[in-house]
Amino acid sequence: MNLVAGLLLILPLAMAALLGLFGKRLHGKTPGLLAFGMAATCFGLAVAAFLHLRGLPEEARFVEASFWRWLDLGSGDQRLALDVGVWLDPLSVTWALFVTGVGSLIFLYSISYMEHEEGAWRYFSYLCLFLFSMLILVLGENLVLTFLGWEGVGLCSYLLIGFDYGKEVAARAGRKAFVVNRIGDVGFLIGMFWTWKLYGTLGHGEMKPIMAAVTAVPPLLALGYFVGACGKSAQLPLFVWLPDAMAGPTPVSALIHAATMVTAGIYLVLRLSPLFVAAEWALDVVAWTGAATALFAGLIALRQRDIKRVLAYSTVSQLGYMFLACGLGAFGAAAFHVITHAFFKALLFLGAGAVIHALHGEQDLWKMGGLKHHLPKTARAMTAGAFALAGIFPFAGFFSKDEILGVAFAQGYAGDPSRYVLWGMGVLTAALTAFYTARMMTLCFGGTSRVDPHLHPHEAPAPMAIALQVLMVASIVGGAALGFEALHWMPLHHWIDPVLAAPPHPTHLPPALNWGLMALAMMIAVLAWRIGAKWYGGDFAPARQAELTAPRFAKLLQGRFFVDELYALLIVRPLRFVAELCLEFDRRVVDGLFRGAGSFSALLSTTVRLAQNGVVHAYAFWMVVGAVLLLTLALA
Amino acid sequence: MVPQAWYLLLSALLFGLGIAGFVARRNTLVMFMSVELMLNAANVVFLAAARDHVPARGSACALFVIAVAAAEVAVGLALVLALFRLRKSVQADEVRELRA
Repeated sequence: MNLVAGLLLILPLAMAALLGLFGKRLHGKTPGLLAFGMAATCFGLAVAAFLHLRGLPEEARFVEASFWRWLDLGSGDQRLALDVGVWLDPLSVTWALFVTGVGSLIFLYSISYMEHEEGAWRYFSYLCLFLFSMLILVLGENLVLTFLGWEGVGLCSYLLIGFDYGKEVAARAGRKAFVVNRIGDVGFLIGMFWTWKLYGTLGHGEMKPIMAAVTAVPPLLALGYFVGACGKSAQLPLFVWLPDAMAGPTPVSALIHAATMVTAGIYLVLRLSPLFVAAEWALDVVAWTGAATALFAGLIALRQRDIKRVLAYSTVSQLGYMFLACGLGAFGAAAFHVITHAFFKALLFLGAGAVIHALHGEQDLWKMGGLKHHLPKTARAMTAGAFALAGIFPFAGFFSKDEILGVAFAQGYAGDPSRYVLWGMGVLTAALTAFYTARMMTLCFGGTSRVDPHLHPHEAPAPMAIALQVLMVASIVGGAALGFEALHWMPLHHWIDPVLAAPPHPTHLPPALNWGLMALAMMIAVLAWRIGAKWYGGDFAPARQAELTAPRFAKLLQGRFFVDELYALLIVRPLRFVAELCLEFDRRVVDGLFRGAGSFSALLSTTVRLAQNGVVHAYAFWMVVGAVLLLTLALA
Repeated sequence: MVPQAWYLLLSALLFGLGIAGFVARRNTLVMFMSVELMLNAANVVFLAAARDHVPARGSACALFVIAVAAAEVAVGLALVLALFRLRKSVQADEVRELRA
């Protein structure tokens, strides 16, 4: 197992180095094929790790493999000893499985997508480095290794968003992602320092018994980690980087900003779930942040014209659901939604990539339409993903989303009325989700064509199509295969729940109520979908007119609630002002001193220089004057 | 016996002539001669003092001055020669290369 775990980390890193150092000499599809081969091998290794763990009895399902001692600082109570090693348990292996699984498909897709791009080797090198970072994030045997991966995915995200660094938008978006993530990282670091101070260890293996016994945790400690999670998983108020991250190539959006990296925040919360449960009101903060983000991003997604932006906001919104589940204590449900979301969101993004590819870079929904006749396969695959996103039975998203809503309602039913509010927000978001997904699909594939007549859209080449087909199947059956709570069919929960904290609140509803709620959610989703499809289907002119002459609230949505502008006003502008002040101070006072010293001596020397006129007689004269002066002084 | 004041007066006159010549004349050779004049004015003072006070010390100083003067002439004349070869002239005001 040590070998498998080691290879899981070494292979992506080696491939990243190989492609980064020598990739420039490779041409065409070679770098992509190499990277894909590596990713597929990693998936195989992850499966091997999974099978190994499955074979163990439930309470012994973990493997700790240390490769070498990394740090050994201090002594006694103050000792911090860290190994470089791997911690395999159901949680980390689950993450490794879908990261490498969905990742391989996206690598495969990228082979065609990036074939004609300049610098594809660079792209694949970054992608491999990303895979390495993500794997060390989830598999690392202590929190510091997790943090290393955490930073690594942040770096790769920056590199890949800014892949097209010649474009100002891309470079700017890359910087934004980096800076916003850094704010979250501070929270993570504080959490880590505090954890070490309290418990004297950061290793996952050593923390397992400690966390099992812990009864009270400072809420701020847990919230420190949560701030980190908010940054990485794009929650309020740190979500602003994710929509901008769409400046990167579309497969990157699919891999990083939908399926894998953004789930790192959820992973962290799940990994430390006992701390969150023991930290009084911390979980409530998580729940309300999640629900608010879900609703907020869902509203914004209603009126975006850029197809990738719609998907980006839907990602933010779905991540909100996951945090809502974490906050409710339904950690298993959060993991479930992470996985189904990875399937269908990767599918939607890759489908959107195929559409954009077919339209030579057009991303504006208003300039699409009628594409189902040109791209039937893509349309079919994306429809499956869209149904899954909208939560329509029996597609994957339905099961996980419904489980989360069910838990919220169950807690309300058990006597906590505020949970009904959370449930309401969740249901409203579900309706919004169905509506904007229908809008996106209809604007893109339905109705009449508004495509530039010079373009001749064509189906994506084979590797892209294969990736789409596989993900389509996963989006259709992925939910039902992993769990259906109402029928007590919960393989994922049986697998992953033992390593997560037990829910602090009730999570089960009476069956009749459960089925009723499910039917209600289903009806709402279908209804919202129908409305959206009808509104934007058929003749485009009135819908367009309605969007253009929108009332004030809709303008707010189009402007994305002007959050970016608000941050610019509240944070960026004051910071800029301070920076300008410092610049002026530096220019005038600090530079002034140095320049003043310089120009003063220059002035002095120009004056004195005049004496050096080269006339021997003048020198003689002044010599005499000097001698006379000295003499007078000596005699006086 | 000639009073010492006369020697001092003579020395001052010679020294004044030397300064005047050194500052006023343009010919480097004459300037050199003026320098010699000033050195010898100093010698006159030394010797006058040697006669009236400490003979050995004053005479020794005068001898030193003569030695220094000889050395100075050797270097100075060499410079003047070099200057003449370069410029075909020994006029001091024609040499202004050292102007800043």
